[in-house]
Amino acid sequence: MSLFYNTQIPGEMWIRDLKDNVSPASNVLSAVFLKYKNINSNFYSELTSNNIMKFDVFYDTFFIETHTGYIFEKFYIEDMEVKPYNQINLFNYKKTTSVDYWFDENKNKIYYTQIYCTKDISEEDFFNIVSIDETDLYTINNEDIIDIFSSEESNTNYFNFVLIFKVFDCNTGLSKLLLLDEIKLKYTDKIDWNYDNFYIENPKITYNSDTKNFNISFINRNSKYSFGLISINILNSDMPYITEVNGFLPFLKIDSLNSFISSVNLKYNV
Amino acid sequence: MKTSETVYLNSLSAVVNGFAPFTLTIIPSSVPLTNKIYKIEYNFGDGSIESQLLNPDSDQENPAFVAKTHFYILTSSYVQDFQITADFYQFNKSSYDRFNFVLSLSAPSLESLNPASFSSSSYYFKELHLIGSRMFGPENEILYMFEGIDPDCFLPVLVNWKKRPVPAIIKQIDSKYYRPYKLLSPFENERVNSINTGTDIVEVPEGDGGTIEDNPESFTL
Repeated sequence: MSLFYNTQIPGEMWIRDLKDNVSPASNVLSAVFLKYKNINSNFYSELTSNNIMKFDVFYDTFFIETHTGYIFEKFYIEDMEVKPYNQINLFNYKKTTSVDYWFDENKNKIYYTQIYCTKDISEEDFFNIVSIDETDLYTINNEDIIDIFSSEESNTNYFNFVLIFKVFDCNTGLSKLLLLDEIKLKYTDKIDWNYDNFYIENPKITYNSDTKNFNISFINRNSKYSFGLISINILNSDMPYITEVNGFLPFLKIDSLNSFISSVNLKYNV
Repeated sequence: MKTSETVYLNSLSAVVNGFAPFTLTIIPSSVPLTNKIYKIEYNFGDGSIESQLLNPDSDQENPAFVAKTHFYILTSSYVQDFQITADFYQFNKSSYDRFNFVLSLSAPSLESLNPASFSSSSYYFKELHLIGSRMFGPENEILYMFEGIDPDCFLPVLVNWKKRPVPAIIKQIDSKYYRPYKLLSPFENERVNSINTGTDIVEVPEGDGGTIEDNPESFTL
């Protein structure tokens, strides 16, 4: 029995419905699941065949994750049926890592994060996925994406990844992208750390209400699977931004002057 | 996991293996030499060279009977070889006799996810995963919760990523330096000084300060 592996095993979900019957989630939440039939067939198939990895509830909002991706969905009840609060696409493709979230009970908002390793995905796929994720809300500058996927030569001495930080407002049922930042750590000397051989584990997010800082941390292993740890602090303000990037990366010499964080500019449609 | 070894130079193997941090003890006694030794020069292979120049007629000060200990850490790689030499200088002999061996050290691994690289005895956990974190306090201290697999356990680790200054030696402040007022009573004691609190010290002139020194509580602004 492992807490870590338990969250990676798909299973069936059964729910007590409004008539007090215990039924498969695909029956009770069918109106919500149906919304994703034409958005992503794999995701819909996993939902309806009960291949669910994680599930959580925050008052009238629930979270479901499968192998393909995940949703935060606000719902309401009408005619004894659970229905989606709005019809916009809230599907998120799974990135390099699984998602982790932090529920702010005071503001009724869920902050969540994922990591992309640029080595794991092509520029075109990245652009498509990010664009599809945010179809209804944002236009993303294509040039910013190109900058992230700069030439291989320039990436050779960099460990780079993209941090995605979003908030789901449980009051409105809408998701908002807060950060889409590329973090490039340049190293000058390394043993067993190769730019295309970083293995990232799922991040964990936490919040310090004293300093209004989020922390996102994740294990990062090198080409020989030796242990490393990265920690990122984000200041929670109207325009959140990364305040610190720390790491425990044995025998990797970081060139902090030439390491940088670049933000992808987001043009809000709403 | 071997982190120390005592090496006898008269029965030496070519390679000594271990895991850093490592304590090496060299015992030079019983080395088969014809003349009395007046100096042994040790080169520990990490840039450290030490000589022992002692009285050969005294058993206690004879370098051949004095064990030499050296401490190793790995600073640049997971595996490192150290070429160690011990040169014996003898009376009535112009050259020295050299004994050498290689100390091969590996960094212990937290996990054994790559079984090809590490032997079964060189890791602490078969797997280690981050399963939770909490951040708190004004310095953003983070409590990480790791899950170890084989051995199965939960491992809480408290991390403060801020670089801390090297702690200064706390000096005993002369008793004439007292603040002439109470700042945070009752959270501080009467003889607290600026090193404890980070606040400025007000120097009370000698002569006028007699009363305060005798009884700091009696002084008020």
